Amino acid sequence: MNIEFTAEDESFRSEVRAFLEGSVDPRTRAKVRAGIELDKQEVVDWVRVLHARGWSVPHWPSEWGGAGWTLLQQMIYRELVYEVGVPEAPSFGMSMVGPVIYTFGSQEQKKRFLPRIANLDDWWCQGFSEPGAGSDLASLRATARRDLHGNWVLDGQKTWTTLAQHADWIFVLARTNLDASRKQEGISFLLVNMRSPGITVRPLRTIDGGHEINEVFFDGVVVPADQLVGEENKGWTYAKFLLGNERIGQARVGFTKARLRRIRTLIARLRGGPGYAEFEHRLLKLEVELRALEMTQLRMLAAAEGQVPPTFASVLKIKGSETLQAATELLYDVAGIAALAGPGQHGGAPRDADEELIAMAAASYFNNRKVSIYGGTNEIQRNIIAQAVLGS
Amino acid sequence: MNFDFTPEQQLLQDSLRRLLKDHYGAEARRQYARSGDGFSRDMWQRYAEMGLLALPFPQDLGGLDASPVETLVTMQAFGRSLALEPYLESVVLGGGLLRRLAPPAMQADLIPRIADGSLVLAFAHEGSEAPGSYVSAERVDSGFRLRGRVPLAVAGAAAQQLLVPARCDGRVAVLLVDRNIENLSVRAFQLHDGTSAAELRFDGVLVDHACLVSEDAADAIGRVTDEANAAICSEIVGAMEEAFELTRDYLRTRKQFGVAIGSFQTLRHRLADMVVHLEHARSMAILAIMRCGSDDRVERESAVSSAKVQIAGAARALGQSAIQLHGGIGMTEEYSLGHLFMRMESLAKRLGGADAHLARLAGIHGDADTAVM
Repeated sequence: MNIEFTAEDESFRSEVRAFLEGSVDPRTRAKVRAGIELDKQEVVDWVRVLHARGWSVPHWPSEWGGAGWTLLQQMIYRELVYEVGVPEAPSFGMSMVGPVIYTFGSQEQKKRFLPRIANLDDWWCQGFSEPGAGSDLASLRATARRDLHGNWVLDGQKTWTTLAQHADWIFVLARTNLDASRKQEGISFLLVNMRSPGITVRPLRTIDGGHEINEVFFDGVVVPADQLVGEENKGWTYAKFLLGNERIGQARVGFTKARLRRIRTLIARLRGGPGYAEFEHRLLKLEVELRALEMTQLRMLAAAEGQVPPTFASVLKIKGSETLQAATELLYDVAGIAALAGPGQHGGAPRDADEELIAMAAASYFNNRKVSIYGGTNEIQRNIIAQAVLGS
Repeated sequence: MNFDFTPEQQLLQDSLRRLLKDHYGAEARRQYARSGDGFSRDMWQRYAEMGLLALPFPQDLGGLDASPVETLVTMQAFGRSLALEPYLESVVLGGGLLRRLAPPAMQADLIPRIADGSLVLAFAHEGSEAPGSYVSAERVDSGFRLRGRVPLAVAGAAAQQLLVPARCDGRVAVLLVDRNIENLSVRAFQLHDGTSAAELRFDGVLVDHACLVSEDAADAIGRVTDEANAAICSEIVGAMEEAFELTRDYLRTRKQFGVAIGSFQTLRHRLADMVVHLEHARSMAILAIMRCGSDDRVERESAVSSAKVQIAGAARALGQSAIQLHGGIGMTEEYSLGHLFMRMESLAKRLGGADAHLARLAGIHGDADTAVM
């Protein structure tokens, strides 16, 4: 057994850190550190910088732009994203539909879509959840029927569509066989241009005041036949692949690690004051949790392909989300009444990194209540674990 | 021993709940929050007409001589409906401070105007810093010169008068300051739960002698803060009740996998845990309101701080569970649950969060002979 990073890993780490620090626009970096929502163009500009370096889709097959990184290297990179404070690339194209296309799509689809995803020429969003289909995704009701030309006509409503307001394309699960004996067997995976006539996007504000999710309505939207991925009525297989494919990043270890470092600095300022000991203990416990999360993630990533126990992804998702939530809760408490001001209500720009952290404390706490809900609720994750260990 | 409401208290609860149900829907609330005052003057007048603003005061000052239970009923109803009006600030804190500290003539002038709705007061202090930490009052010939910055005064922008604690000659004084006075800058802002507040800057504000409410107010501020914390506890309980009921109803009606999600055992248990939190919170809110007026300092501070600690924890657990059980919809701004949760958290922080109250309990009960019970 050997639990150390290799010398290659460490020099990889230095190389990536140097590149990220040297390449990011300082204004963008300042916004990322302050938790301020980035403009679409800022994210696009950044991904183009990565793409030019060959690093925008490092986990893809090299044929389509992958960098040939190991899972461990991908993890190192991810942590540096948060540590240095560069934008997170949107995952819907690069980590969700991209892998579906290069795994199940036609050669034409690969040539057409993959380069544009890698360079963020096309911004993708996800059309899975519906008002009546959350945890029970297979009960989705959006339908796609063939028209006289063999194209699809899409009707229905998707919800919780992250950043649809920026999106050029949306991948959609729709029902194409209403007579299937099992509801999972009547679903297809379609690629839809967001500029198609019949699409309406309605913003959904979240309780922290931000606009990151939307509802998307489809009213007789024509989808060309060549935008069906794989086989008709096999969409559920591709969806399961997509949902299970995201092995790194689900636990958000790097994000929480970077956050806890900043909270430590803030708590140190309170030393000697009332309540300091309690906050220090809470922080220490979270740092211990994070350590455990890191080790479990390393064990998962270091495992040979196909040898990862089926419980690991769920374990990481549960603990990753709970640890992140606890960190945001701690920050909200440590910040005291300074965290009470609403978004944009603090009066004057923060004067230092601690004030910046305090200014985002409330929004971060309330917004991150979502992490135990999205990506498969923690209740569903526990069901997955129980099923795996009990056999039923 | 008896934990029941009297018929009059029950009537108060029923009529106030009905009033709020009719006039405090989500859209109405948004409009009140957007208005200049940040709350509804119309509703404030309705409260006055109902006698709510007069409840705790003596009859000879236009009050109704009501008991603490009426305050509990009122604050719970406000919590349920996410009311924005400054009842806590004006009636409980402002009125309470005047009753303990102000000369009789000042009380005779101001209390009836609080009771009839024509005067809104705000307390120029918040959080767990000691009163007097933010503002200094220097004696001058005409009266006092005030200097300092108060980072948070809830209702500070809409109030006509501010009660300002300030350190003066080594003690904590309280001064009554007109909100529009020269050299006072008021930056109005909103809390994350929609409550209207202000940051106050005193740049050499001159007030005359008649504005002095008391030159040695520390103890009285402590007592009124205890009463206000007890009121806050009740308001949190009201919000918890509404959050619980929304969640219960959602579990009954929301279907996934062909059944109501309330049939899944893990969710049933979480709902049951919410009931446990709610019952303990109700119990401690009662303890706090019944003891917050006690002259026995240990009994009073222990009850109020215990209640604050318990209820802050219970509200957090219940609120987080409520969001989780609702799934994605619980995260949306459109739905009231998120607002109830933010209100609970915001109230729990005010006038000393759980950490400050736990520290106070440690101070009172650090000795092995004096347990919290």
